[in-house]
Amino acid sequence: MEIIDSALDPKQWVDTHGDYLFSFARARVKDVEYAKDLVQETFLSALAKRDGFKGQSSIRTWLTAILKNKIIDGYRKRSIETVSNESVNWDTSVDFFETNGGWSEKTRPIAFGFEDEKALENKDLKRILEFCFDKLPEMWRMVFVMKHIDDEKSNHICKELKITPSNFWVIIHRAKLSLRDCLQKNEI
Amino acid sequence: MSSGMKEEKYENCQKATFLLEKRQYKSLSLWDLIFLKYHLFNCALCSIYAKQTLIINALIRDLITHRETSESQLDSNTKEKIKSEINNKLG
Repeated sequence: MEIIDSALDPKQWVDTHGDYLFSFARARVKDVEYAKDLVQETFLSALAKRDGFKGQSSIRTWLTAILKNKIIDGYRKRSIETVSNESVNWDTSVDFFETNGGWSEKTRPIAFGFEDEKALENKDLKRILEFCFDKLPEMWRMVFVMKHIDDEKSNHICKELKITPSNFWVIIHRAKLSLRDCLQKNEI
Repeated sequence: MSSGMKEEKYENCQKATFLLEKRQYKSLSLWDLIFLKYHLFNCALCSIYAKQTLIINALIRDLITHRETSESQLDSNTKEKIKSEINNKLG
């Protein structure tokens, strides 16, 4: 009983889990201040519903799940506001391909010179990738993170973010094309 | 080699790259697989893309996990602010 209580003591939460939750949020949202707000909201709503904590998972896992829901809610709200713009962008921003489906002249892939595991040790490449990744539209980054980092099922992502399966594939495809192109344009 | 053939192999790159992404999540239909194999065999550009897309996945995974595990980022001001909010609510 005592052990559970001390883990549950909300006065310890910030010191024990604050950095972790902040890092988790920072990896998923661009804005630092917004990430801080999310962490604060997470603690406060955890506090409000801590009687519902069943102890089946660790308190950290529980807090992380609350934070994750808040991040997704935020994406959803903002994407409703920007969805019309974004859907236009998907079709007309950069044309990676000619009308016949072939690569357009200015976006043709050029070999990076390290199409293998060595790329992971390349500091410059990582720096440029970080720059390019943060430039992606928020919805694209979110889909990417949920799929590649959180290993969620595609249909689950569609449901969470309220996007159609065909939009999901378009996002995945265009996000990758944009990232690849950004890496190439920034002179790897 | 007629120029017509040369042009032909660069067509459908949009479809091929789309399938290259899709196959990372779902198994492709036999027809799509045959299309993709045939296209990659003939198209040097999409073959480069096929390697790069996997490297980019690995790099992003690396970037996010790095961001997640880099510690002590929440500044003490914010921590104190949240703590006092919590204390207030606890009464």
